[in-house]
Amino acid sequence: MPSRSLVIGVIGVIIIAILVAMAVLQPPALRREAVLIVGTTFDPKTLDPALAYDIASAIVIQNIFDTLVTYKPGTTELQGKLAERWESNENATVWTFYLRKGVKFHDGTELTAGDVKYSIERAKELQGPPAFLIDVIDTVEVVDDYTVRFILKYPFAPFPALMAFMLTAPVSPEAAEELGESFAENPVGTGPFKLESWVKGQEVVLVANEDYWRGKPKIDKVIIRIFKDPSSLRIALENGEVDMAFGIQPSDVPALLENPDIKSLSIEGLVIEWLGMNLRKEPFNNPLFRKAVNYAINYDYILENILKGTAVRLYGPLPPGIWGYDPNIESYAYKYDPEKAKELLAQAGYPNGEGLPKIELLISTEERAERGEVAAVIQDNLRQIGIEVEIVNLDWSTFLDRLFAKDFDMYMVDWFPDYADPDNWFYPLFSTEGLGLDGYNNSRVDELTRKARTITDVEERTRIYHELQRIVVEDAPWAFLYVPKLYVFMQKNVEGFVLYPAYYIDFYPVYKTS
Amino acid sequence: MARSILNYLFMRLLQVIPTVLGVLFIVFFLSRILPGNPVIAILGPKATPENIEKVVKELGLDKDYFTQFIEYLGDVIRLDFGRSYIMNVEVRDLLFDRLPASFELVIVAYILSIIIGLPLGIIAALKRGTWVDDLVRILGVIGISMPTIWLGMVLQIVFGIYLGFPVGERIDPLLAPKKVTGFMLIDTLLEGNIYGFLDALKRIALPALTLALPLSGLLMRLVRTSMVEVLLSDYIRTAKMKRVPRDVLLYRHALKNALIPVVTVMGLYFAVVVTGDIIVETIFSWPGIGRLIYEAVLLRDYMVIQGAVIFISLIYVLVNLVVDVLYFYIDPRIKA
Amino acid sequence: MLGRLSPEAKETLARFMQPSTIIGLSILVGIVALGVIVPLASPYDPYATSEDVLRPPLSEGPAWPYILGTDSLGRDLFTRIFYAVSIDLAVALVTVGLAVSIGMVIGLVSGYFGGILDSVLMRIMDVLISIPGFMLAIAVAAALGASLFNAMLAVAVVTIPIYARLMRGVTLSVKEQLYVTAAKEAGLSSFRILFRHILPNAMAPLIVQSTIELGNAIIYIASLSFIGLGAQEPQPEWGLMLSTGRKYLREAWWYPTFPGLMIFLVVLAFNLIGDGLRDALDPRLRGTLKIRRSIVWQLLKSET
Repeated sequence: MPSRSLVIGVIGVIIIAILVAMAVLQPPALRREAVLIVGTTFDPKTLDPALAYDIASAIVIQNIFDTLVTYKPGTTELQGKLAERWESNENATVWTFYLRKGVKFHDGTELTAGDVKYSIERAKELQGPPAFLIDVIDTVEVVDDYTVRFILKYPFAPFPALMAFMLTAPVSPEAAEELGESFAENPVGTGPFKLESWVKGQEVVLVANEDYWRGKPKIDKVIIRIFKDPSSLRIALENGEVDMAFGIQPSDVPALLENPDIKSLSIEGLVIEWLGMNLRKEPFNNPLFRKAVNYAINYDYILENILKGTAVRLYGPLPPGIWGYDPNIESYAYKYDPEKAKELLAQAGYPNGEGLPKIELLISTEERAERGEVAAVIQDNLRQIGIEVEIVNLDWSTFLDRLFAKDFDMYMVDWFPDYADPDNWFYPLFSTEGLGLDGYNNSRVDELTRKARTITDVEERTRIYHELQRIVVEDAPWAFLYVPKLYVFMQKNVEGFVLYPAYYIDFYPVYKTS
Repeated sequence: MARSILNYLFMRLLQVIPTVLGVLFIVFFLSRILPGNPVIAILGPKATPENIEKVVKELGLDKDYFTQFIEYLGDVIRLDFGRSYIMNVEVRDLLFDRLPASFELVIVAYILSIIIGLPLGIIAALKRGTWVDDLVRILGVIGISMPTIWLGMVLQIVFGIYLGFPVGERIDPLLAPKKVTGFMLIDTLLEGNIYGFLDALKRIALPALTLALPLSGLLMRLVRTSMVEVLLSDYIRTAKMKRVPRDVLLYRHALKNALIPVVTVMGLYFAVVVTGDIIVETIFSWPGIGRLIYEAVLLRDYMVIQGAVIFISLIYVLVNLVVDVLYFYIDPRIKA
Repeated sequence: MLGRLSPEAKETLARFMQPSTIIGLSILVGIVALGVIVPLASPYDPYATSEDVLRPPLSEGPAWPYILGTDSLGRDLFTRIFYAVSIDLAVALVTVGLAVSIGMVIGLVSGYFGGILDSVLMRIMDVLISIPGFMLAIAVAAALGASLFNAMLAVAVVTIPIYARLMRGVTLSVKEQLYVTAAKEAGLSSFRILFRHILPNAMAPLIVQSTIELGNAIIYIASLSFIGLGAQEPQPEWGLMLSTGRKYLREAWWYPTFPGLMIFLVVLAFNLIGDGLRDALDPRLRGTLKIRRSIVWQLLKSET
């Protein structure tokens, strides 16, 4: 039947034509200079600064909103942003900020002290996840249009650092009142970019704010594409589909560093990863046992073979990137020494692990895929000295549930600071007034932590934090693991980007050369 | 005929109701015994007890399960799947947003599997017992034995890396068309955006092929078996005796009859494809329902899990309904 | 050996020894044999990490060469992959065994007693089957918590309806057959009728179905492990190895490739055996095979 052959023939020709077109036709120069395409594995949850408490949301929010205070490029040192300067009273309970003039919200209204007061009160009222951070603020006073005063409930020296956290960013009162809950999808701030569109879980599109107080950004548009699978992100980067990539997994880093078509930046971060123990229980209430664990772990193996050089060792409670870090800490920190570990284990009353109960190590590999492998190494290391551990990999919410219910033996987790001040490690993690995860209780630590909050003199605070590090390392409530470095990978023509240890992602200075 | 089809349809629709209720119950039950507190997942690790209590109230999680279920049932009838606690968006919007991506993928995978499987199956049936037949059977069994997790990975490497195919997402954002049907391949053509069309086609090719290869293995075997059976049946023998020309015999009778079981199994296989693509969508960063379900389970997003599973199950029930009606229509011998 | 068998036994054996069965069995026997030998003979501990990280296949090791290379923790892949044989196969067997036994009982009871019980049970099976299997398995595994054991339960639950329906069909058709009616009249208990007369008739289709389902169970379990709901580090399990290895695909192709290959081979073996068994056991194909082949031949010949 000729008609049938004809049909088959036509279909064949169409298929071949499509295949040829796919191979031959290349789209015309699409990569306009003015558009920046960012690939990330982080998926924002909300764009309302009062509700956001995750890195993914922060990356976007930081570009739509400005805070009063920010970090100097590439450091954890503070400088003014919406505030030109600030001052405090003697005991750090009253803080006055002097605002920049002529700053406009995306809706055209001008920023005044009243808006700052409104935004703080709004955040307190909404009681979003990070709202507890501003519990310290008692009242906000409008001194004049450009002067705002914060009265604190107790002395709090890290206050300016807290004002660099996105929670405190001024929002447009008109927009916030009018939009109500949907403000989270239609944010109006003072930042360099405005939100154009947001398809949840897929992409966020930002456009330049023409009236930005520092001048219009160099790029017209930022398209943030969310990749759920880090390997796809790597391929997209290598194929030139994205200009910048955040969230590349450590196993891909060495190859990308060697790739001549791609450039990278890296910086030591402030995130710390540790192995926690439940000090309320046997055998973890025994410091000798905890020290044995600290000596049993092969840190260099983890850093080299699993993290592939993308992290540095954490010797104590503080990461090296924050001021107050004790430069001599290496001299009294724990290093891999299985023989010593065995000795300590025997001294603790468990020679070769005899008499130990079954130990569970809780982890969640959702946000850090390499954690599974690190846990496997630690498990093997501990097995070598006689401690048998079972790894339990949980989803994030179950993990947190069990952690807060104190229903665990050991766990591995990381901590991202809310503000770049040593207080944000010691107070929540080691003071009994903090989260109390591990059941660590040392009255000297409580006392020093409280004292350091009330002093504004940086040198004196530094001395206190050095002492605190010594005490905590000696008590060994954790096994201190590592500090991941922050990486960004870019195409060769992307310029101007600066990495901040506090993971402040600023697209404002970025531009592309042709 | 028309009347009997209507009757049949009505009876089948009646059967659907208890099934759907059962699905709702199972899904609700399962999502409530999931471990992990969704409130902590929403509020983060540093939430205060007052905050937690407030959100629990807001979400109605403090009521007993029976009340929660009844309320949920009422909402589902109004096609309201609730709000995702975690992504902070209406589940219905989320589903309709992700649905076209999955549908487009599944349809392309179906077409691919038919292009590969059907001709091979026919050839094998016609050349039964020869080396061609053996080859097709071997290909078929290899196809159905191929684990998606592995196949997807291998294809991603070969095409994505060595041949430079774009991987992940449905289209280059700079080529993205305006949303009309939600199907990238159609929307780009409607705009006359040929580069967009080609880009979308390249991106859909790999995940679709990953889904299609095992499916085409199955199809190959089925077409072959049913063709052979029909070719050997009295029906065809009678037709042959009546001296019906070979082409007509093969295509009109044999093929048409051989398609009956094929249609059924393709209908049943819909479930396998839709869920098999949880893996494929994860590997290829494809923003469809499969990936949504996976993410929701990881985040313990009750509402999304419930909504998506019910949604898919409804579609599945519907597809089987259509298949049964097709069955009824294709094969005049069946009077159910 | 063969010479001593009776002619009937020889015929049965010949019927079962289809080429696909032979190939499938050889693959399976080969893998199982290695799964027994390797763990016994290998000088490597499947759990011990080493400094030899991501070594390519056949590279030098302290004892044996690393035949299939090493993984990201410096563990010998060859040893781990064959350690996993017993884990993966045991898991598949238990899963299918569980589903078959529960499904069988449901199907038998449902088909034999009929009535309301039948309607209720089959409605439940309908519901289970109208939720796409893997999705339900994910939901169940997530609800129970991530572990290999829970993944097993999840897969068993979602596959019960397959056997229940199969069994019910067979029961219904056998029930009305003469000898069952006769047995009933002879006053045999329901229990005896079910197990003496009905069950044996259902064995053939059950065996074929479960052989194929063994392959599916392996894929399901591996897929659950792949998305983190199954086996946990440092358990040697193919799905988990594939999942972890996927990160290293670009720099160490062997890490995810060999576990994937093993899943493929085992599933292939089960499918081949299942095919062979079906050909041998399907009564419709039995005997008619010769006649049918000749008809096709004539048909095609006369047309050309």
